[in-house]
Amino acid sequence: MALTDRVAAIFEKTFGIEAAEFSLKTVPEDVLRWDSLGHMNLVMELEDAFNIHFEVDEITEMSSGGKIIDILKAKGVQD
Amino acid sequence: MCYGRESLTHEQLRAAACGWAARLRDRGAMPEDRVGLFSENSPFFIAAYLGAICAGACAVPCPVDCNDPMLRRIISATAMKRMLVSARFEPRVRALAESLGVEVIGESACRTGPTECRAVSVDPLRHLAAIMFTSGSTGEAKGVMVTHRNVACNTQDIIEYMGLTADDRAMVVLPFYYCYGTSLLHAVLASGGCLVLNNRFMFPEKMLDEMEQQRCTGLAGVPATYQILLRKTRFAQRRFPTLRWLQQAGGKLANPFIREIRQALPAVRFFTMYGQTEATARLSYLPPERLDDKMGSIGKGLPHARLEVLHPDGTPVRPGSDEVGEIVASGDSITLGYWNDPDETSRYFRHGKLYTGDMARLDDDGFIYIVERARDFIKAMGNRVGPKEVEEVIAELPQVVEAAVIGVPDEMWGEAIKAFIVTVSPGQLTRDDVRNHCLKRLPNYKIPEHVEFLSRLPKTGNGKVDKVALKGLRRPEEAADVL
Repeated sequence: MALTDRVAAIFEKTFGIEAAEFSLKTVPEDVLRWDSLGHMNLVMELEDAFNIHFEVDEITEMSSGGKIIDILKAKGVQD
Repeated sequence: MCYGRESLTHEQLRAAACGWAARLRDRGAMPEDRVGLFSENSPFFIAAYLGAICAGACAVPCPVDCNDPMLRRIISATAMKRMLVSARFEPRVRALAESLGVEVIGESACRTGPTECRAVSVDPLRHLAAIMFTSGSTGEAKGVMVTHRNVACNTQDIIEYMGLTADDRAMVVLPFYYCYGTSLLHAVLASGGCLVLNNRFMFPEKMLDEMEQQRCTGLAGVPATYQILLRKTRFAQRRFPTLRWLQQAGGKLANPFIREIRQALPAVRFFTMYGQTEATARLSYLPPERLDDKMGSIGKGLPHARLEVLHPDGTPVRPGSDEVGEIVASGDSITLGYWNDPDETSRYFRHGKLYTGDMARLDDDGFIYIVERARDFIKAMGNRVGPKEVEEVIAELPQVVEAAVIGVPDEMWGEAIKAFIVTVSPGQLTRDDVRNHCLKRLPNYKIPEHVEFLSRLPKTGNGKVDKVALKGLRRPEEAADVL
């Protein structure tokens, strides 16, 4: 499964949105439950799914679907 | 109020609150029943909170980041019969609450259409408007009994010293389920102003974008709020044409940060405030005009919260001396004590006054300077050391985002000083850098023996540094669990 699709599935699980609604341009303003609390849940789900650990700076950089994908790739997650 | 793309006028909010009051009455809620609230900051929270109070009930806002054991304890301790829950949290909360005999009323159950707002007769001095839980930053969280009179008086004081008007638009990043956030809700709405809710402070630059777009006139924060804004955003370089005030409470923001903010935003009034949940919210503030000559002071008491600084024998400390005493508060903002905990209540509420546990001195003009919380003093090399003083010195290093100092057991001296530090980027400072800097400013016995660098400090639900977690009495990730 492509990395974007895997992240979309995590968004669906975390925020209850349809995976098809996720894109690289998705930002917190587009997702009702993507607030600070939801963001922590998202981070935990991503860490579990990809078996990685995010640094604090990376967590605060994850402000869009595209940036999340970039950070995952930078941490060695394969597409 | 504004919440993302949604906005409500005062009339609409009032109607929504009346709808919730009517729904609670429909469901048999009686005056003084405890009604739980489990919701993120949202129009629903505000309407449900005000609606519960309008129905004569006692609102019990629950921290939404608590785990199941903590929620069980809150429900049992307050003997709540009903809980108003936002759509987001209903799947999680319903089964647990109902298993404890609590009726869960979801967000969608609000009664719509014209609703009579029936006044309920309450004794403002005795009837509880809310039970507010303390943050647990220095121990177990406790439920504080807040009366209608408490809320009215503290709100009046805040409006007065802040100069709040119907033109104010306050950016809200603090949770409403702790007293600081609630005090903002009360004061801004009572003055006819607008609350702009932003639950996305994890992207602080975006919050600043909204603050500018919404033409906010003010922002309220805890120390970490401003530390993050100064070190992780372009806050100090941006211009906010409509910003009139910043307020800070929930702990001491180190003076270097206050100076940076004033330098960056000289036209914005910066309010340093002090308070406790046990006193509804605010106990004192430092007038912004006095920051130059009284920086570091918490100011003086409010009209409805008289402050004294007393020795253990009850005598006042001498202004302008080195004498240190406990801050003791009295007045109509002082709450009734802790729900169902007469022992703790009698420990901190005595002779009609609140014994805050905060140690302070007075300058010649009667301005109060907090030295330390009594239980936070460290006995290092036989000397009494207040962590705040050491934290203040560490915060002078420009690489430091935040620092927390505690005492740790030491075989030789009983206690040694340990500093936990978060830097702008990892590896910017070493233990020697920190100690060498402190040596220039502090006597030997106040120099941290141990220095540990962290990516973040453990925080309680309302953003305060969780020193109990740092002391290892519980794991940092359990910081939100304590009741």
